[in-house]
Amino acid sequence: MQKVSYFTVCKNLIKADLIIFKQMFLDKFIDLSIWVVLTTIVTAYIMPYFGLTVDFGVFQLGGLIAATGLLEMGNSNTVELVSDFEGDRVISFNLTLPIPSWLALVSKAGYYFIIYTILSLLMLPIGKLCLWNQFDLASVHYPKFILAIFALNLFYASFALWMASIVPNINKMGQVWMRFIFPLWFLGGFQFSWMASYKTIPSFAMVNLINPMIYTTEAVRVALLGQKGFINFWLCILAILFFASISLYLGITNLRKRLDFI
Amino acid sequence: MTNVLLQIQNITKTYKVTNKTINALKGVSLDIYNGEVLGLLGVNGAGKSTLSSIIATLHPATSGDILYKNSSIYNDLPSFRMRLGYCPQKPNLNPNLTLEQNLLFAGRLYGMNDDQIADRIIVLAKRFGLESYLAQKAEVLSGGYKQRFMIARSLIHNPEFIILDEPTVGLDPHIRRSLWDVIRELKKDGITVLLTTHYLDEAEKLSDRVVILDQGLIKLIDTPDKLMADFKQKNLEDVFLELMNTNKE
Repeated sequence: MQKVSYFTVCKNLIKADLIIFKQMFLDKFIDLSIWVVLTTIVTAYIMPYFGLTVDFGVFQLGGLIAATGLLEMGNSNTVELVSDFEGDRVISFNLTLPIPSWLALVSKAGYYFIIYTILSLLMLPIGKLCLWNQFDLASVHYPKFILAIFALNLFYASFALWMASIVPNINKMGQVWMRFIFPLWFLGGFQFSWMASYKTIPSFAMVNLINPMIYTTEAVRVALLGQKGFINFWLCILAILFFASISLYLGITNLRKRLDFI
Repeated sequence: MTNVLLQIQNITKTYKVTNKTINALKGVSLDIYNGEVLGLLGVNGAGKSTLSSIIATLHPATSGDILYKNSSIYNDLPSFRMRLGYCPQKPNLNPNLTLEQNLLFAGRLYGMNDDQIADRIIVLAKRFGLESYLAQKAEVLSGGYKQRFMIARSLIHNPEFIILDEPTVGLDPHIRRSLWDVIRELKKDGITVLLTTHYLDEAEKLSDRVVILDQGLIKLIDTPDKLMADFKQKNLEDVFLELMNTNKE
C-alpha cells in the first residue's frame, strides 16, 4: 500500500474544516463587523466630544483588527474544541490518521490561522467605511500590515490549542475567558499604546512586556500609523512568533496528556 | 489460520482518575491471525475498549509492544495506520459535513484520488444501504445508520485489518442482525476483524476465536466451540457466566 504524504493529509484536514467555515462565514463576518463598526464609530465620532483626538478612531481600529482573531478564538473555536473533547470526539478520528498524531493538531491550528487571517483582513475595509476621511488607505504600510496579520494570527491559532488544553470543561470556559484572557487583552494595549502606558505607569508597562497581546496591537498600529510612538515593529514580530511557538508547544504537550494520544 | 498478522505483547495501561491509579490492562498478550474475526469479550470495565483503542493507535500503551508482521507498529505508525480501519464505540463522524463529504475527505486523508474515492463510495453506499442518505448531513442519521456509516468510513481505504468497538451496542435487534451480515461479509473479503462486544450471542455467531478479558487480564482465548465443549455448556453466555462465577469463588 502506498504511503500518503503528511502534507496531503494536513491539507485535506484543513479543507474539510474550511467547508464548515464557509457555511458559517457570513454569520461570523456580520458579528465581527458589528463589533468593529460600533467601536470605531463611538471612538471616532462620539469620544472626540469628550476630549479624545479625532485620529483615535484609526488607533482603535488597529486594536480591533489585532483582536479579531482573539475574539473568534475565544467565542467560537476554543468552545468547539473543548465541546468536541467532551462530546463527539471528532478529533479522535484525526488522531488515528496516517500522520504523526500531533500533526492533526497542527492542522487544526493551520485552519484557525487561515480563518483568523481572512476575518482580520476583512476588518480593514470595514474600518475604512466607518472612518472614511479620517483614514487614508494609502498611508497603510501593506507589507508590514500583512506580516503583522500573519504573525498575530499564527499566535492566536496556537493560543487556541493551548487554551483548549487548559479549560477543564465547557462550563469553565467563561471563567478562563474572564479571569485570564480578558485581562491580557484589555491590558494588552487594546485602547492605549505601550509608550503611553510607559510614560504614565512605567512599572505597569514593563510588566506588560510579557503580555503577548501588547505586541499584536503595536504591530498592527505601526502598519496603520507608522513607527513613531510604538514598540519597534520587528521586535513585535519576533515577540509574537516567540509566543506563538511557546503556545503551540505547550498546547500540543498539554493536549497529548489530556487526550492521551501517541 | 497460522498466519499471524498482529502480535500483542505484554500490553499494560495505567491511568489516573482524580488521584486514583487505574490499571486498565495488566499485561495482555495475544496473537491475531490474518483473516479471522476475533471477538473481544468482557464485562464493562474489563479493558476491552482500552485494548482496542491501543491497537487502533489512538492511545499509547504504558508498556509492551504491538508487532505487525513481526515489526513494531511504533517504528512506523503512519504505515500501520494506512492498513488499519477503526470504528470506535462512539460515532465520531463530522456532523457538519454530508455523508458523501465525510467519505470523500476520509478517502483523501488516506491518499486516495477523487476517482478512486467516487468508485469506493458507490460500492460502500450500496453495501451499507446508505445511497439515499449520501447528500444528507451525518447528524440526521439514526443510531443504526450512523453505525453502518462508521463501518463504511473505516473501510474507505481498503484496510487489511478493522477494529469494531461495540458496533451494535444500543441498537434494535433487527439492526444488530443486519450489522452481523456486514461483519460476515468483511470476513468473506479476507479482512481481519477485531470485534469488541459484550453481546455473547454476537461473539458466538461471528467470531472464529474469542478472548475473554476480566479486570485487565486475559482469562481465556479459544474458539467458541472449543470453549463450549470444555465448559460443557450449550452457549457462550453460559461459559462466560460459569467463568465469572469461578472467579468470584
